[in-house]
Amino acid sequence: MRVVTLKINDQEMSGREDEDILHVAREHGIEIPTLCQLDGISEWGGCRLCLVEIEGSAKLSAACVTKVSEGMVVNTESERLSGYRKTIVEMLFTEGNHICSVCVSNNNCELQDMSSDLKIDHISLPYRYPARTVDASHDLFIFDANRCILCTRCVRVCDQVEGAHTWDIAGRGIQSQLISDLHQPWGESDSCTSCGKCVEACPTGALFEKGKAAGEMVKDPKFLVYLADMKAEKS
Amino acid sequence: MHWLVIGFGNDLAGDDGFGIAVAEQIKKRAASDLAIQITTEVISTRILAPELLESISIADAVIFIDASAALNDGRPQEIDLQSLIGSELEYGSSIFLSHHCNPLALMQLNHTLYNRNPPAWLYALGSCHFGLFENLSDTVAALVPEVAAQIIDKINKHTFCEQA
Amino acid sequence: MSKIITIDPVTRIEGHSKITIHLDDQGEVEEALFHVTQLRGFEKFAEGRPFHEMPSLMARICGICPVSHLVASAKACDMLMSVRIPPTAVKLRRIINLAQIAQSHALSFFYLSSPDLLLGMDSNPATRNIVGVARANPELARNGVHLRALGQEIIEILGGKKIHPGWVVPGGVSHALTAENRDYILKKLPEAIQIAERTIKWFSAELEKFSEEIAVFANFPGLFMSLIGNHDQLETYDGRLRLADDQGLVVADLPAEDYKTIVAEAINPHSYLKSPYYKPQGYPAGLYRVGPLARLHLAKTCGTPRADQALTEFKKLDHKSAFHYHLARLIEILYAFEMIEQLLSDDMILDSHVRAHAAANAHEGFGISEAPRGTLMHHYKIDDNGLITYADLIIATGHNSLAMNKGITQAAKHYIKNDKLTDGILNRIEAVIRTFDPCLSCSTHAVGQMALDIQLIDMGGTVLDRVKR
Repeated sequence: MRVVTLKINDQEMSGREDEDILHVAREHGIEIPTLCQLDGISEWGGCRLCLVEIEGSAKLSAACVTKVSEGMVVNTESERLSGYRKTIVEMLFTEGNHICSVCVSNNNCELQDMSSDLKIDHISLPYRYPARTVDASHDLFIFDANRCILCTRCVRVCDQVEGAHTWDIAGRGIQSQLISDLHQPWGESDSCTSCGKCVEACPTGALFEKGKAAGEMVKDPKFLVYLADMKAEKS
Repeated sequence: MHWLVIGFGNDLAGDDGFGIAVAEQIKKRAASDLAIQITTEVISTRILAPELLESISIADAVIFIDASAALNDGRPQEIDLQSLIGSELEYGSSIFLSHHCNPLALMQLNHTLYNRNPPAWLYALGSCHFGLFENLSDTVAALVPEVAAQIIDKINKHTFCEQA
Repeated sequence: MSKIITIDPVTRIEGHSKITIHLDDQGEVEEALFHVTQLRGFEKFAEGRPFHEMPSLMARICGICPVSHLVASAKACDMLMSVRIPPTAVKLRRIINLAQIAQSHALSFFYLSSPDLLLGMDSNPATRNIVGVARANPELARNGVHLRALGQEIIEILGGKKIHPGWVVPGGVSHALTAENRDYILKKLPEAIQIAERTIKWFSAELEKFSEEIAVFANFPGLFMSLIGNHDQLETYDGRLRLADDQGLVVADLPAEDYKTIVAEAINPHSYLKSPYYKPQGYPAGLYRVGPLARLHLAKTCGTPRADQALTEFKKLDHKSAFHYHLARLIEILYAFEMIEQLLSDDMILDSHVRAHAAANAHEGFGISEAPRGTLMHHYKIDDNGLITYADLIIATGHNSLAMNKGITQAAKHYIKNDKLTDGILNRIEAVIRTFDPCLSCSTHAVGQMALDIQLIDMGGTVLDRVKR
């Protein structure tokens, strides 16, 4: 594998040519915000928070799905980027119904942390207040669509790690929604193995364990990296 | 000498969170600074309620930190509250509602109820930007470490001068 | 020509409201109405939510008595889970509920009502506040500060937060009490008990000054309702529901969760506050009172030695008058701290088993407890999956709605003799409301001086007289 040299935020660094900008930056201590990215499952490039500027290109690129190349000059922080990132997160808040104070994931939520990191303390866009439902038909878990940001981490972990592919996205655009099997209640799903990986992978309080009260749902999806490593060793 | 530092304001209302930010900074400092840790109790609170008198009444010196819409000065002002105690002008009903009150009213009550009149200062910052947001504006945020350091200096100076 | 006098907003109470006093052609008071001008809508937006969220969601109804809602809501959830929660969890919930009652009563008596009681109903409104009290009687003010601070501190120690603690959860409480915290609270209780006892003694001696107020402050026959213990003792967490008339004749005694068989709610066009009434007597004849006055009226004993002594004296008074809510509050503060001491001294209070876990096992749950202001009722229904399909709450202040209206009408008829309005007269009418300590669930207060604007308006809308402060 070839090693390339590049510049991120004026810092010289090198990485393998099959690596993406996000991981090379992280290895060198440069954090780029992400929500849909999760180590241990494939990259998707859907949340657009990791957008970066690449010299010579007018468009912005998602750092998680853009491979590094020789002589690349990348900028991860600018007024333009932080403006976009803020708007993206604001849109996530207005698109669903997020009420932190009574949420099971309060103080343990990646969306909450992200808005704090981006210093979002005010939503300038109008709220949509969609009428969404809660699916509590599963014996162990609950899916609250109000808190879903459509990051598809659950879809990918279920498909790629558990191999069940219970979850998927139905509809397009603003109609997009997370469904289990062929849009039937989660509790009636034939494919779900009740493994709970989707719950651990979910960045918000959209998927959680039954019986948790406000602020009690703590997730730790780090085990996915070990699973991925073990799989790689075997093959 | 027992010091009490009270930073107050609404940290959901922009620069109104200044007092809380300074108090938190002093708390952090106290974690590593034994002199401050021993001499000083730091309270950060959204509102000043009469229950604070329980702490105030045992303090030898009190420092309040606040952001004020009434002041125009962008530099923190140090107001000596002790000298104002006993003056009648501030002792009306308007300063005392059922759930919250202002620093001078608290010090007045401390005097009336516990017969104590310790040195007390209010660090008030004007020219603030209030609104429905959680972060301090850049200019006000820049003043936080400065005011925290000033207060720590004051505590140290008094404490060590007194010992000497 | 008939006229309307408006007091808007009512001051020194929790929340936003106004009073209108309606005069007939002769200028005599026809009736007075207490309007609650705020609307919340919690019952609606609980629908579709997992029931485990209810305690923290319902606690947001109120920043003043979140603990009361936590307790009632968690009890309703226990019933949905059909679990018997660990005995230590029951005791810990009792303690936090008692601390809430003590701190709330201290606020009501010392901060909100003591200016009227100590300085007089006609004293200068500019100093008729806690500052004025501090000058006239520093010890009383110090005591108020101390009792409220201790109640709040106990809540903070147990729940981790003064306001909106998340500690009380369906099935019990989220974590056990530490020995260090128990000892800390125990050390502080004797002084609080002494203070409460001294204040009762002082206030009892003051009562003779208020014979006129006692006679006309919502002093009428009628029913009283509260929870009651197995041995007819004062009970704030659990127990049966009892209604008795002013003579002590029991008209209803039933399991608390059957309250809907005897209580119905009427809706008034003048207020967002619903008016519950005792069904067999109909509306509005089925008026009843709840809260400290009702609890002490119904209880044969408190179950703690000092509060029991005070209760014996209390029973000798004409305690159907709402004015005696004040003394009842003081006695309950004493009871609360004594009872917390008893509960903390229990061998099992530090037990680590404080939470039962279960899924939804029943479709309907009731949680009934005594909040500072009276019986608080949460009623939920869920579907097979544990999602709320129905929520219905009766808040303590609501029960008193009819009694408050009748009470201010009685006082207005007594004090308003002609068109002439004085601050002292209107303060007395407000003071009737203050005896009930209504909590109108305000989450925010506007900063600045609370205005009192009383207008005398004729039928054509012309302002005849106006008093402002």
